[in-house]
Formats: sequence, structure tokens, C-alpha cells
Amino acid sequence: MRSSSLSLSLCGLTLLLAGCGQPPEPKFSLNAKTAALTPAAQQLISEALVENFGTPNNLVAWQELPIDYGKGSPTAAEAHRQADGWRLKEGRDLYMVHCLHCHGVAGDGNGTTARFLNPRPRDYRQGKYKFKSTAGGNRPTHDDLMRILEEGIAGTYMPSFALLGKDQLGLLVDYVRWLSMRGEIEEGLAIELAQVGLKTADLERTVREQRTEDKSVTLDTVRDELLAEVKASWPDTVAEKAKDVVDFWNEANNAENLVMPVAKRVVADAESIARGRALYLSKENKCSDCHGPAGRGDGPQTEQFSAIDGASPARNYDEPGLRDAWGNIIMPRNLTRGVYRFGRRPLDIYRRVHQGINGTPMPGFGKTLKDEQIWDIVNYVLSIPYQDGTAPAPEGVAGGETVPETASR
Amino acid sequence: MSLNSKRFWRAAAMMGCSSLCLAGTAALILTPPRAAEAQGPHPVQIAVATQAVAPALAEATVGFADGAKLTGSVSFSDDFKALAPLVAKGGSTKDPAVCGASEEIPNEELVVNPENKGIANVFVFLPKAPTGYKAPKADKELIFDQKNCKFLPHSLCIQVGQTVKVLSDDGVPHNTHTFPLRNAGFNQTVSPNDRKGVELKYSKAEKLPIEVKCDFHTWMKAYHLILDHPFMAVSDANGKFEIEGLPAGKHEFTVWHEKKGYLDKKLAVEVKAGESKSVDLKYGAKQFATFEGPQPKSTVVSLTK
Ligand code: HEC
Ligand code: HEC
Repeated sequence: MRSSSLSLSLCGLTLLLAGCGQPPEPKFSLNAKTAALTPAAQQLISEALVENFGTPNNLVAWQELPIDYGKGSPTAAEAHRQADGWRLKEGRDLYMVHCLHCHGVAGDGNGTTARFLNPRPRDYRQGKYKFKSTAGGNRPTHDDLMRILEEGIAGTYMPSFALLGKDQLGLLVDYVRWLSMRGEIEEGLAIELAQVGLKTADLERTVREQRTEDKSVTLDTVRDELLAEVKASWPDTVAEKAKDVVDFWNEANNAENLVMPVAKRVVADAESIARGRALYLSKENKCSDCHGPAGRGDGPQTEQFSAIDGASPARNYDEPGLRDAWGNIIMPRNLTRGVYRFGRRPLDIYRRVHQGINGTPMPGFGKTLKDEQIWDIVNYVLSIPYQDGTAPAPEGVAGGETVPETASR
Repeated sequence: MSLNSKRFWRAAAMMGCSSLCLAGTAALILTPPRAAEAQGPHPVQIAVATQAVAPALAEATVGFADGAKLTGSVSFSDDFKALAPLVAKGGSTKDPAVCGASEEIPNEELVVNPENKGIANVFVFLPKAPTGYKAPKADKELIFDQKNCKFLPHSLCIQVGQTVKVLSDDGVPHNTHTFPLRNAGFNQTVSPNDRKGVELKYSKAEKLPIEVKCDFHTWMKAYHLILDHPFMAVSDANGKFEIEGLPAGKHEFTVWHEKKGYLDKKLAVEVKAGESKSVDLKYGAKQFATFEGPQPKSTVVSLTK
């Protein structure tokens, strides 16, 4: 007791005197998928990551990634900007101050504040972003991420950081992209090794199965055989994963992936809104299955049981509800509130309806509806907060059919 | 394009002080990552891998005309009791007027033909195109349909760049939500009874089959295998499959099924030009068993230590 309080005050003293205490060294946490692997396989991944990305206190700027790390300039006023890599370092420093407590050191969305929040802070390590101008599962553009940081995400705990100014936000965006790429490479490698059979649980099962026939089989022999195979092509495997990730982030800037309406917005008059409502409730689109007939986010789909991704044998979650890509329950937006997470411009809502929301079950309607129809829906969505939610469904539209049905498995 | 030939440059950024709160004051010291590579303050150049590329086969040897053929059957070697349906007839909680209205929606996690024990939906494929082989463009359009709130087919082989038309024969909207690893995800609705279809394409090969789901009907699931060559097949309702146009020589096929994962990682087969070769694959209950009981108390780690 006594010695610990003594060391605490000593520590405080050193902080005061030297400005440099001894807090625990920040670490990039392991992805749960990596942690599920046998230790020797974990080590392979950890080594690859340390080699190419370093540790939080000792960053490595991997030039293969499409990130501007900051070229040093000998004439820079700040000493540290004279050396290469200063943008990454400054980005890290800002991230540690402003984002860490929600998004975590590794960008795993698991900072100390995270468990109190719903929705949870984004886990960047899958490269899955919800709010962007690009199609489908494509990565966000630099500008998309800038906008998130400038505006925050309305209706969630993600604040605006506009006060930091554009320069600093640019540094943060690149640090987030860097963490994302690091995470994607780790996750890709972990999935690959799991598929080979190097998950601790799978190894144990293989050993049990094989031992019924051959008593000389042990965990060591099975693991070493699998590992030898993996190690033979490991540098290639890492390089391939990196290439995939680089391609993904380069594709974000491909003009073909930008979602832009072809037709101009339809005037938001009463007719357009009525057409939009009919489309919203219609049995062709059934927005109401998720968002509810009145847009309260309480459609019958919220009472269905969702399947657990990749579970074998296939099974459902115990609790009903839609699930996002991270396995959390996700409620369809309550559209009566008029709070939109990525902007309230008609173009923003157009993009959400056209492409759906990546990482969530909300599908896109861009392949089945014409632009004019999507604009009608946009006009209706933007009018919902001012609508009488109890109005009967328009004639000829089976809006009443989507009554909540009893949930069952 | 391979990364092997590219050069990787890197610089290590070092932080003098480990304190988080004081991070802003830390200096960036550029250090080469390894002592052995210390050559001053410049980025260190490293080549990641120097693997010789195997010599390309002469293009002429890979024609489809006198290519070899692999046929085969996959069968279940034990007694099989059909799995309970996912949705009983008339028992759907979602869109009951359409889903499972006329017939039950079967559980396709493991489908065994009661007559000949053939296992359906087993993927057989070459993990990589034979060295030097250049795949012809796949211009045949594939159909991925939906009926009775079920994907048809349940398992589909697709070549990179090939057009898949997603159709629907149901009077309710569906959405096709893919979960690829190397391609960008796709999640688009398909209108009721859309016989024109929504176009779906993949731009990169995947290592293993990927899941496809529908969020309107949470039980709906299918698998897509996307490769950059045509040497893949999926077993039909009788457990039969066929791969044509193979270059002559030794091949190692992957045999994969959604319930078990790998059934065979390296199924070695030698084929001769212009000839057909047949393989009979048998897998039993043991191979498909998934462990659900309590974990055993011990596992033998090593016999020597
Ligand atoms: C108080 C907690 C909190 C802090 C601090 C915070 N965030 Fe977030 N952030 C969130 C939450 C919550 C979400 C998820 C919102 C959602 O899923 O709708 C999020 C989402 C994001 C996204 C994903 C947007 C998308 O399109 O998917 C990015 C990028 C992001 N934050 C960056 C940052 C950066 C950079 C910082 C620091 C400058 C930061 N955040 C600080 C809570 C926080
Ligand atoms: C399968 C269920 C589902 C369907 C069908 C669906 N949505 Fe959604 N929708 C969601 C979910 C879940 C969210 C919340 C996503 C999140 O929290 O990031 C959402 C969010 C939204 C948002 C909020 C966007 C923002 O920026 O905050 C709008 C607007 C929206 N949906 C409109 C629609 C419209 C219009 C339709 C029909 C054309 C539709 N949705 C169909 C599930 C669905």
C-alpha cells in the first residue's frame, strides 16, 4: 500500500520535473481474430505488423501505402518537420489527444469511453465506413473523412473537430487511413491463417480427430506442419494483402465509384412527396419493413432474428434485431426526428438511398429505382418530421400489410 | 502485377518520450528499423521477396479444344437424416404470403440426395490458375435467382469480370448483400418479380467461397466462388461435377463445403490432354461433424516435452 502510493507520487514528481513520466506504453491491441489463433501464428502476424507499421511509440512509415507521410524540409521552422514522416507523427499525436479514448490506440473502436456509447465508435480495422460519397463497400475519399471530422456525426457521440482547423484535420484523416490499412492487413492475415486451420480451437479439434487413429499426433506436430506450409510463402502473403488494401484505398478516388445523380432533383411539391411516400410503403421497396410505416424505425424487421456471420453450424443471435457488420444490434433510423448522420442535403439522402449504408443491413435502391423515383423518396424522407404519421396509406399501396408480425426463430 | 518486384521504402519514426499526454512535445527521430541496415538518415530500401517466376507455359498448350476433363462425384458415406427445414410450410414470420407459402424452405447447410447419397454444393476448384495460363474472358451471363425466399442456385461459380444477373421470382423485394474479402461489398435491392435483373460483377478473385445474404429474409444465404480462371465447379443435386479444358498435367484441387470448410486442401489429380478423368470423393458424418459439446479437459500438446 505504502510503497505504491510512494511510487505514484514519485511518478508525479518526475512528470513535473522532467515532463516525462512512465505511463504504460501504448500498444496496438490484437484483433480478436488474431487472438483466436495459436500463439505461433499470432507471432507471425505481430512480426509482420511491427516490421511494416511499428509500434505506437515507434511508427514505421511504409512507403508502399498511398499516404502522404510528410517530406522533411531542411528549412522548416519546427525542428521535427525537417525530417521525413512528420505528418504521420503529428497525426498520431493529435489522434492520441482527441480520438484515442473513443476509437482506441489501434483504431479498434475500443477506447475507454467506447463501452458507454451506442452506436459504438467506429472500428477502422475492417476498412468499413458508413458515411461516404463512394459506391457500395468502397473506401471513403479523403474529403469524405474530412467532412466527418468537420461536421461530426449528428445523433451520435462522434463530435465535430472543426475547431482544429483544416491542416490538423488533414493529418488526422491520414492517420485514420493509416490505422485502417494496418487493421485491414492484420485482419486479412488473421482470416487467412484461420482458414488454414491455425485457430487454437480448430487445432485442438484436428488433434482430437487425428489421435483416434494415430497416437503419435500432438498439437505440436499438427501446428508445425501447418505453420511450415504458411511460412514458405509468408512474405508473398503479406505483400498480397498489402496490395489488396492499397488497391481498395486507391479505388476510392476512382471517379467511377463516386455516386452522383444523373437526373436533377425533382421539385419537392406535394405530389412528389406523395409519390415518395407511396414508394416508401410500396411492396416493391418496403422501406417500411425496417423503418416502420410511419418512419419511426420500428418496422417488423427489427423483430427478426439475424444469423451470426460465418457461424458453423449456422445459428442466430439470441436477441432479435438487425445487426451491423460488427455484430452490434442496429436500429433503422427513426426518420421522424430529422436527424441524419451524414448531412441533411438532399444529395446526402439520395446517396444513402441509392447505395444503402455500408456496414449495415440498409440496402441500396439505385439499381432498381430511377433517379426521379429516388428524388421523390428523398423529398418524402425530408418531409417525414412534418407529416402526420397516423395518416392512412395512400390508395393502392399495401402499406398496411407490413404489420409487425410475431417474432420467432 | 506483383509486389515482389517493387521496392519497399520505409522510414521509422521514433518518439523520444512515451507519455501519451505529452506526445506533442516528442521529437521525431528518423531511425533505420534494423541496425544492420543503418546507412544514415535516408530511407532504407528493402526488397521484400525475390522469388523466381515460373516460366510461362506456351499459350498453345492451354487451348480448350484438347483440354483434359475432370469429372467426379461427391457422396456421403454414412446414414443421413435430412436437416429440419429453415422455415416450415406456412410457418414464415416474414412475408408469409410468399416465403414458404407453397412449400417449406429447406436448410441447405448440408444437402444429401436420399437416393444416391450425392452431396450437393461442394466446390471443387484450382486455388490458382495453372502457371502461365491466361483465362479467356468469361462472357456467358450467369443467373442468380430467388424463389420461395431462397437463392437459386445456392452455390455459384463466377469468373472475375463475369456478369451475374440477380433475378427474383418472388412477389416481395429482396436485397443481395455480399460479404467478400478482396472485392468491395455489394448491397442492392432487387424488385419483386424482376426478370430483367440487377447486375453484379466481381473484380478480384477470392480465396474461398464468400457468403451472400438477404437482410429482408434473414435465413437466406448463398455462396459465391470468384476466381480469375474457369477451373472450378460445384456439385449438383446428385453430387456430380465436371471441369473442362484443363491443361494436361498434375493439378491440386481444393474441395470445400460451407459446413466443414476444407474437405480436401490438396486433391492431387493427373490429367492427360484430350482425355477425361474421373474421381469419386466420399466424406462421412465425421468430416461434417461440428463440435458443440463441452470442451474436453485436456489436449495432448507434445509427446516429447
Ligand atoms: C466521444 C467519442 C468519440 C470521439 C472522441 C471520436 N469519435 Fe469518431 N466516432 C464515434 C462514434 C460513436 C462513431 C460511429 C457513428 C456511427 O456508427 O454512426 C464514430 C465514427 C467515426 C468515423 C467513421 C465514419 C464513417 O463513415 O463510418 C471516423 C472516420 C471517425 N469517427 C474519426 C474520428 C477521429 C479522427 C476522431 C478524433 C479527432 C474521433 N473520431 C473522435 C465516437 C467518437
Ligand atoms: C433492411 C432494413 C432497411 C431497409 C429495407 C431500409 N433501411 Fe434505411 N436504414 C436501415 C438502418 C439499419 C439504418 C441505420 C444505419 C446506421 O445507423 O448507420 C438506416 C438508415 C436510413 C437513413 C438515415 C441516413 C442518415 O444519414 O442518417 C435514411 C434516410 C434511410 N435509412 C432511408 C431509407 C429508405 C428511404 C428506404 C427505402 C427506400 C430504406 N431506408 C430501407 C435499414 C433499412
